[in-house]
Amino acid sequence: MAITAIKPQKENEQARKPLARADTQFNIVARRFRRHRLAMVSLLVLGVILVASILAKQISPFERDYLNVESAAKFLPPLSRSPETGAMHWLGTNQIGQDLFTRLVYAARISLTTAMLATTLSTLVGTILGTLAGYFRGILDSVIQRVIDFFSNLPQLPILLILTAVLVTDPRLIPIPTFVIKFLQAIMLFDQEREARVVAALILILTLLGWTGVARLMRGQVLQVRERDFVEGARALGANSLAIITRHIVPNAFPPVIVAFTLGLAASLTAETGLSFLGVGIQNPVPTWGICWPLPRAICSSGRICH
Amino acid sequence: MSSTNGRARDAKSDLMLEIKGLKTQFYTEDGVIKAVDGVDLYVKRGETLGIVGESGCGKSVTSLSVMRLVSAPGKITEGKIIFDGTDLLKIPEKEMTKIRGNRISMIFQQPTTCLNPVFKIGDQISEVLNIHQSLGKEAGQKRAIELLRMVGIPSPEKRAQAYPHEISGGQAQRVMIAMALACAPELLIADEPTTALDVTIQAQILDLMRGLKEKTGTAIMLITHDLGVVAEMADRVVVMYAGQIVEEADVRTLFAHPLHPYTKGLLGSIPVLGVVRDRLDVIPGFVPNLLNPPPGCRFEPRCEICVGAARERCQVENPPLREVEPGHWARTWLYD
Amino acid sequence: MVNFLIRRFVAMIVMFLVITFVAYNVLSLAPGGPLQELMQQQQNSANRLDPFALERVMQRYEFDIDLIPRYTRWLVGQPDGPLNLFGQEMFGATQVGCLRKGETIFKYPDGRVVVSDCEVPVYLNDLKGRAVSKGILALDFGTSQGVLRGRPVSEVLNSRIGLTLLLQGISSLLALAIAVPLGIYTAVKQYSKLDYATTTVAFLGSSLPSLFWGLMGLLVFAVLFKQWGLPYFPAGTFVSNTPQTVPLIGVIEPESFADRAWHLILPILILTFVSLSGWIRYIRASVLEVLKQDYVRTARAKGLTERAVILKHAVRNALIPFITLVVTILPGLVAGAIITETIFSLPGVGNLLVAAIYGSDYNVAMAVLLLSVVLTLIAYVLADILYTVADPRIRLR
Repeated sequence: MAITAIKPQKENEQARKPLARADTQFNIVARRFRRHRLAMVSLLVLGVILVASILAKQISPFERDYLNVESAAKFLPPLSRSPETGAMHWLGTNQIGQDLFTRLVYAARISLTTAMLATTLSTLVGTILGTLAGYFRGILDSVIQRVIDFFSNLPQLPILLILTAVLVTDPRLIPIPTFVIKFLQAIMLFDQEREARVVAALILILTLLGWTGVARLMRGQVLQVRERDFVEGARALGANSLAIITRHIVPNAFPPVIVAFTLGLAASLTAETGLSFLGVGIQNPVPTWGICWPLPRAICSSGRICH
Repeated sequence: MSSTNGRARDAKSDLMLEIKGLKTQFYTEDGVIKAVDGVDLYVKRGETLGIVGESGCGKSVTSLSVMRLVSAPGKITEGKIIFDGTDLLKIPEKEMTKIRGNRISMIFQQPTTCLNPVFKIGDQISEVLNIHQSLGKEAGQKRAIELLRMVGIPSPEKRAQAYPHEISGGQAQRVMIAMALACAPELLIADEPTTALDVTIQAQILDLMRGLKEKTGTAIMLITHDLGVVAEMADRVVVMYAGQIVEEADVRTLFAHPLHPYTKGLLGSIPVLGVVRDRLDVIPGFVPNLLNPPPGCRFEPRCEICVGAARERCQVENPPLREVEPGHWARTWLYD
Repeated sequence: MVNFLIRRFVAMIVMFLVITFVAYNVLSLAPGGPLQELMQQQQNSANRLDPFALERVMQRYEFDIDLIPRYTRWLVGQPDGPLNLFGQEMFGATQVGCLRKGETIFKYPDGRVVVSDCEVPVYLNDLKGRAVSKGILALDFGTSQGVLRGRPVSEVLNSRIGLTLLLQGISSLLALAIAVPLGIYTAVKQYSKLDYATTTVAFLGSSLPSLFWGLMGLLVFAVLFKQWGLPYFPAGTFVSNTPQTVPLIGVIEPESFADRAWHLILPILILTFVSLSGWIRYIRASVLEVLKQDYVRTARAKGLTERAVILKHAVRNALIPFITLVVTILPGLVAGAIITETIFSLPGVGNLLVAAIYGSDYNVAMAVLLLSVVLTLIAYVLADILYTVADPRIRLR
């Protein structure tokens, strides 16, 4: 290849131009997302719910526990006025004259926060135990694996039902530090400490039964990542286990856990609303998405699903 | 289009496959990718045609187009694929299934993933015989063992009962070859058949293919990015770049006397035994984005040879594929 | 394989013992149980209850016996009195519990002085003649303490399990029969109209829980349809008391076959819809993944028709991971419809479990839990076995 011309600088720049224009990761993701109609709709709905729950106190026309058992105030249809105060019941009232809109908005706040905290905790526990099992292997791994096997072989809903029935009805059975209770009271706008205790107990139970999925995922990830060259490199440079785990392993093993977190959020929400609906989780007068349903008279008079 | 006729004229009678003006495009979210953009080529009976190029140049898509196996979002938009006198793009799918695996077979790059993990090897081979020759279970099994023996698999009776995960990559490629040759096809398309294999196994597989070709007279369309493989196997070579053919010649001519700057670059990037060089030449830059290829010569942005006034022409006008020397075609303005 | 099964069986037994022990004791921690109720009554009511009533209740629930012997009595019906060896009664004076707490000083004739925190201890001898089950290992679940007090738990279960099996059996089969073909079809015809429609519906079905769909179904098909004069479904319970007139359909006689069907259709449809949605999404994704595999391309290159490529080469590989989901039908047969049964007030096992928890009926609650634990364990072993049958790459060791 004797013919070697002077490198035409200009042309080379031109050649790279289409590549330079190439999208950043963020742009690609953003564009794909915008084009995904379902995702956009979901985002919008989620946004509305989030804003409403943050502004629960401000936008609700009634007190959270307001009720009016006079028959003129019960089962009102949407957009009717309160016979007592004249304020608007946007979504009507339920069997004990509570304002459904107020309940719905507070319920959003309580249910979402509960799910969020339960999922965050279980992801945290799962990540830590999964990482330890995957990184250190040996006996620790075997023990953690057995525990994971144990929990994942449980029939989830019956166990949840029994645990919550026992522990939530008497929250004193689990000692919970006062600052946690204060925190929950503040974030969920609870007046009473007892309400916060019930939620705290429920969060702990959901965590206890929810961490195994993340732990298993994380363990698998860590087992892969720890064999990669950069981990070997870090080890060769004399980094200790803690540094390797926090700097190299966890960041590289973590992405699938984020997906698991979002799925876990849905699972926690479903579990909490289900339990509350069955009457063993969070209970009236605290509203959650399990017990704020606008059930008409026809249903309330027959079954016992009206709370 | 006239160029194809010219190139093929002398060989018209014994043409096995002729591709005319083939265009295959992929309709992605980001736009239309012209993966194959007007390819003309032919394969004579019993001949081995090598198709060379970097990954992404359209050589695999060309071969899948011949099989009509380009899957969504890809689509063949233009051109003719004439196989033994019939245009494959005009016949119904049902007719096409009678040709696939029977008269045209194909082997692929990753032999281990190309075999279905849940079926026994013998059954996967006899399936071809069952489709095309209506061979029953027992007869198919017997023939499958013969084929396994033919491709040099030790104790074929036992191996026929094995599952794909129980054999090595080299053996898997032998199985693929046995499967491809089961119905004695007239054309075998081999898409990077040795790329995923160890070097020693590569040589064995190439030997096997050459031996079988001599025995059966099957024409081979060999797709590879490995010029060594081409030199060893091919009679004639087509060089592809960015969805188009840039050079075509018989194998000796091409290696001795490449015309296109891209081919020159490719040949410069391989080490030659006995020649001491400071460093191997590298073609600068990247394969152009086929979403909107350069308006002129596709190789122009990376070209280090073309200079001066000629270069300006390169930037605006894509050169046609022309017969620069007898039997030696190139897509370049260099020899004007 | 045999080795594997033996190991799994041993693991199952260990799991079973641990779960039941924990659950049994957690349940007995339950506050608001029969004792508290009774104590509250005692405090509130003017006519004070018999002071021994509390102790009788304690004895009925065996709260006077320590954790471990209480559990073993439930598990195997032992100890039911002093140990009997060669006609000789032994260990009769071993303390196994305490009926009434309180500091007591015992002075023995031999001069020993023992301070105990138990006023009325329970000894092995006292267990003689007490009613005890044969133990759940002999499939005797004991007697119901709340829902149907005094009746054997197995009788209570028998009266409920048929309905749940019917609900879950029909809805699971229906969901399978629809999800598998539709999941495959939507993957093969990706981006077709049917695919878009199915994907959207399945997205909604799987992103909202059965609670939502159950209540929505109830509101729309039972309440609103009735108001609008359309053919409606009943708002719960299993049978009608009086003949019901349904628009466009006619009169449904109580307790007829039509009546039962009429009551079950809506809950079955809702259960079907919820599992269907998840399964379709799973199968579709799985088939799409398999269709990208090299061996599918090989199958096409062999000259197989597209139909044969999909049905023979793609589907089998795509359905292998689906095994994990399918086996969960098994434990679901017992306690998989708790929410739906509650919404429609159907007297099934799920409803029974909720009632048992409310009514402190520990034997019933434990029996339901036990059944679902055993079925869950069996389901996972079954999944492992099915995997080896379906996928030659997996060997059980």
